[in-house]
Amino acid sequence: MALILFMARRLFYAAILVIGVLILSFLLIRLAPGDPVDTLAGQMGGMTEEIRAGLRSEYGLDQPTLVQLGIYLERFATGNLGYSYFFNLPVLSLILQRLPATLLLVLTALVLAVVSGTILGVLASRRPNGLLSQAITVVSVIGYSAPVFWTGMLLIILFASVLPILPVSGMTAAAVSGGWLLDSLDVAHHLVLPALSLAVVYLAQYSRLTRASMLDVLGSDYVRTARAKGLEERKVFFKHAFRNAMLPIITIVGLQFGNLLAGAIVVETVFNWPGLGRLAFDSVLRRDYPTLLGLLFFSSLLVIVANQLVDVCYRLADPRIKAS
Amino acid sequence: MAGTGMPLLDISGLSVEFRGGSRTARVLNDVALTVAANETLGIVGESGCGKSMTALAILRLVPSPPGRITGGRIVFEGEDLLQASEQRLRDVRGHRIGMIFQEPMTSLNPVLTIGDQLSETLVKHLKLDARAARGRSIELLRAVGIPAPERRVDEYPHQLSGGMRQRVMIAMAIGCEPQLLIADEPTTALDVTVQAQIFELLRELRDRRGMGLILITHDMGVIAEMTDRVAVMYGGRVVEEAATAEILSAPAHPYTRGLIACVPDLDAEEAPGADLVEIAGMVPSVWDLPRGCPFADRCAEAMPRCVAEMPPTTVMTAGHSVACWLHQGVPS
Ligand SMILES: Nc1ncnc2c1ncn2[C@@H]1O[C@H](COP(=O)(O)OP(=O)(O)O)[C@@H](O)[C@H]1O
Ligand code: SF4
Ligand SMILES: [Mg+2]
Repeated sequence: MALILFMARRLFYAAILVIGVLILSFLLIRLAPGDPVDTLAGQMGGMTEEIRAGLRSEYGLDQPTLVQLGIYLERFATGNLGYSYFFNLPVLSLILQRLPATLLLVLTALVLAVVSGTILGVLASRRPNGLLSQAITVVSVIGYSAPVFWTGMLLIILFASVLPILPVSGMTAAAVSGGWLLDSLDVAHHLVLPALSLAVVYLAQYSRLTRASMLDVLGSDYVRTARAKGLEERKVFFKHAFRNAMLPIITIVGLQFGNLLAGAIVVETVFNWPGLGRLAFDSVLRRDYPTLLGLLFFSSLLVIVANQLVDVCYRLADPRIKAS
Repeated sequence: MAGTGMPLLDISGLSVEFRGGSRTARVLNDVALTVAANETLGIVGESGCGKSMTALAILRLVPSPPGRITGGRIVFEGEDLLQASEQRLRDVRGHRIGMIFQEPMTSLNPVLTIGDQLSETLVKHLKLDARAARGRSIELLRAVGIPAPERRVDEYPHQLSGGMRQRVMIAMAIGCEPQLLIADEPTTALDVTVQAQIFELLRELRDRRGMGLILITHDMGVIAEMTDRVAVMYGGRVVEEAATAEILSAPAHPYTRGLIACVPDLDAEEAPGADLVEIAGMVPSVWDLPRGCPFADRCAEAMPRCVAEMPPTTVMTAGHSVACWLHQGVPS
């Protein structure tokens, strides 16, 4: 009950935050040089000044910025995110159509990073000076400094030419359509490299963090108590140490979800993955304002939902935190 | 009451070292102690003298690295624990020997319920099923004087006060009816009324169950109240050992005398808990122990020989031994 109340309050603040983000993004986008009609004209090989003016008034671009903002917010309140200048489709359906691809990519990368990161970290903590510990330190230093696109490019080079067993572009092979099972396998096959390039940085960080956190907890008084009770080392590790060691990881995952989403834009562009990131990238080039705003709205929504989920996880894992 | 027959626990030659870089600290040096069933041995000394390390060594819980038990025997019920396998040791820990730590606030796991933490010992050693373990946990909580144990059993450590947490630790340590209970400054972090209650509880449990008890403290008042025999530790060594009455009436080691002099009026029947007034000077660092007597730089009676040579432990009278050059050559 307290938890529900707490979440309701959080959602209220989140809503205010989202509106703020929208207004700020709206104004920022207008500040950027370039104009959708010019861009469109460029792509169509020129337009008369008359047609341009017509388009401007059709899109409402001839109004003062603040009036445009008012109109946008008014429509937004009724659930209307407007039409894409480029696709001539409702922004909402455009986004919903691509949302699953991004969610699939981001969640796969997240699970991959968290699960393998913690497993590696826990294994390393068993021998703090062992080979695995040292390997994790080295890899995580590289992981910290390697930008996502660089990792992606490296993987592309490796798998496009040297070891061509994994697809490096797109989400499906055009030829395949043999029932849902084959289709899913095909998507999974295409997912490997993008998810890996997105995950690798976080995997490195999480394994290092888990190792440090485990070592910290293993030296704590309550772990000593657990040993003094005669519990098996396996129980000491997983029942007593691991749950406590995970608390900082949960926090970090929540804090970094936004970065992960930002990383997805790069990865989707590099691997031609048909998700929101790819769409965002293209929309910036096209000055497709409504689509861009819609995307910003959805990403802040995703970050907020993710943070709420992380918060719930934290509350479940740590009884000391009261919902208040 | 004092021990007769084969001791329950017989420690001899126990040494523990810590490594730090290229340096070695002798945290325990040739420690010898015995505890009989139904007997309370007090270990007393200022902070940093090696009392906790002795307790940890008995269960082979010395943090390693950097620590290491480098020698000695710890014979418990006829078996040398230093030679025992890890698996055998796990059967002793929490089952035959219970341990209460100095830090009640941090010694319980914050994310597990009290009941969960009590039960797991019972499940492991007494092979109880979950239901029976829960029932017995509630009984144990009641036995250590926790009100509303049916409710407390499902609470988390942070919902309990320090005194209550220490009671939980005691309940946990006695859950499997150990032969030996080690209580390492069980009341340090607690206020005076709670201290008195905890000692009362320990005394009652010892008398009812006939356990051996090792009570570690830096408080001579507690020693006088609670113990049958005392080992005084200094600089990682046992510098004097005797029956409590004898230590209090005829202390032989200058350090022991200092400790006793610090307690305001031991005869007055006041509650234990009066803290030590300082003996001038400081406990030597384990990283930098002198070659001779570790107490030499604080001892009013120090002689040139004290600085040069470590005094051996000699038996003064039956059951009273001391490591001090003042008492060398005293016929036993
Ligand atoms: N983890 C550790 N690393 C280095 N030195 C330690 C460690 N734990 C204890 N010591 C040292 O060992 C000595 C004995 O400590 P301890 O047994 O805890 O003393 P006591 O319980 O009598 O206060 C102290 O000098 C302390 O500084
Ligand atoms: S051996 Fe010497 S320095 Fe040490 S306690 Fe005895 S008299 Fe004092
Ligand atoms: Mg101590």
